[in-house]
Amino acid sequence: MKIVEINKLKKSFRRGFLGRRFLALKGLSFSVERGEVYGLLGPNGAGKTTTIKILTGLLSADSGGIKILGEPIGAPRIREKIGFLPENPQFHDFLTGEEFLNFHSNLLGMPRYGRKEKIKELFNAVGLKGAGDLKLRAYSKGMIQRIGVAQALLGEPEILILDEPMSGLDPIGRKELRDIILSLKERGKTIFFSTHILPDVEVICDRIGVILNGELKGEGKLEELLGARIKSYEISFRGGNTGLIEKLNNVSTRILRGADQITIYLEKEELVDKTVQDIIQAGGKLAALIPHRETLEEYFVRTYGKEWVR
Amino acid sequence: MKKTISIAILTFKEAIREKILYNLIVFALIFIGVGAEAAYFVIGDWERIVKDISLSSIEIFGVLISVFLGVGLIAKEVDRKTAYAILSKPVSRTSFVLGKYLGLLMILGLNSIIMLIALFIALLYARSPVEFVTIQAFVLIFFQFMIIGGFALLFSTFTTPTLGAIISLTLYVIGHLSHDLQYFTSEKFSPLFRWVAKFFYLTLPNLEILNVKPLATYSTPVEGAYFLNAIVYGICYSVFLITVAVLIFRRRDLK
Repeated sequence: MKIVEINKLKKSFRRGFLGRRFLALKGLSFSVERGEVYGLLGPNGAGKTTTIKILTGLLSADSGGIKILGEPIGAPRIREKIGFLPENPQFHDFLTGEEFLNFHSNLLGMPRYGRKEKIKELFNAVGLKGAGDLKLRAYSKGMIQRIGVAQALLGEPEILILDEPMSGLDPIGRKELRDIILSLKERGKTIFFSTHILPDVEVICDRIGVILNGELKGEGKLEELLGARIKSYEISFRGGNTGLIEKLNNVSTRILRGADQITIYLEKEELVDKTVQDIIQAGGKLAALIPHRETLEEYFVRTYGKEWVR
Repeated sequence: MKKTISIAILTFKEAIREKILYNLIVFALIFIGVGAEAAYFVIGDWERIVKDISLSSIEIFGVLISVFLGVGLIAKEVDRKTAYAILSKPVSRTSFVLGKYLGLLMILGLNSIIMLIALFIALLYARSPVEFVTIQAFVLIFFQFMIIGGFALLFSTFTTPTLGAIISLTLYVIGHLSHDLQYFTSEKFSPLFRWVAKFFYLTLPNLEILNVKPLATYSTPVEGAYFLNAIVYGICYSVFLITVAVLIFRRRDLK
């Protein structure tokens, strides 16, 4: 079942002194299924935040349609189904963590009965146990990001929308937030998030969409995009006669000599069987044969490198 | 309505932390206190001067508080992006603007109570009874705060706090010159000039309707009908301003 359906979405902004129109989204279409983690990837200025702001009612589209659970967006009550974490979130920092979540619970019209327990649960879920009495101005950036996730989770939304959730976090902060997202994924939450940090996407996403210059350039499951393509083969062996290295020099792209082991890299699959046979015939003992799949980063550089840079 | 009240309480809690609020309240209290003391040495009616200085101080500093707090109400929320998490919740832009205005009125109400206490102390010091007309003058000053705060909030939906403050304060001054604008609508002037003067006379606020300070100073009673009409004028004008603010903010893209 589709949670979000975006159809031929267009949005333009006026720019410069003369107010010339700049098309930020050029007919964007994609959908997010229930229970999946969908990553919208693209460089800065590609249109990710614009898409998210239209989804959350902060911007209005020029044309095109957005439906959430089959209902067109527009009426505020549709936003009950959305939990949103803005990019580099800023909150009212004179509130304590608990007051902040209580205020957002009021905005969602949540009943007062059982609210305190719910807020406590959320503090635990995002790793902020014991921070409820602290004012938000005393929170670190990572803590702000986590309480931002907590406010997005209030009211059990159908979909979580996270705009660049990892942006500006240190490696530990990134890992902590990634773990929170993964735990939400395990609980079956539908998550839609934008990012330009590719290693995070490989760990978190089920499906990705690539947006460049306001257009969706590609979409698919990660295993479909990366799974089939093997970038290189790594063969490690011990021993072998002197002529073997000379032979391997002609077929391999790289040879690494260790203390008691030699590792070679091959790019072509058809060379693998023959090379293994050569090693064995030369008295070598095979230690490992590892196929290396392409990383998302390499896939991006190969497929969208020129456009991404532009 | 609960959402509007939540936003109003948040606005109140935020405004009460603003240093400028305390600075202006302290200045107003100093003016009232020094005025009451200095008036003793002035030849004339001590009581009258105390009332005049106190009510004028309340009005001027109250208007400054309305403007300086009002112009940041929405502009700051948008600039700091604190509005994003709020408006992505099931909260209409109308509720947001109304909540902000209500929060401003709460802080203006608190400020007015402090000023009223200061006024009573000053009158007590001047051995003057608290007359009903003084209370009426005070109430109508509060409606001036409502209108000027409404203007500040309106400008806050589409312009910078600095520009909003300049225009709001200008409108406060013009609002007290309505009788002069009316003069320009007389037959002595060209039709185009008259039309322009009439347009501004009818659309800009007539704050003189809400100014009965001279009557309070001279202990001249204000008719009940006039007082009620003035209150209705203040409410209608404020509602008009907030409606325009809502219409503008509903169409605004939060980039």
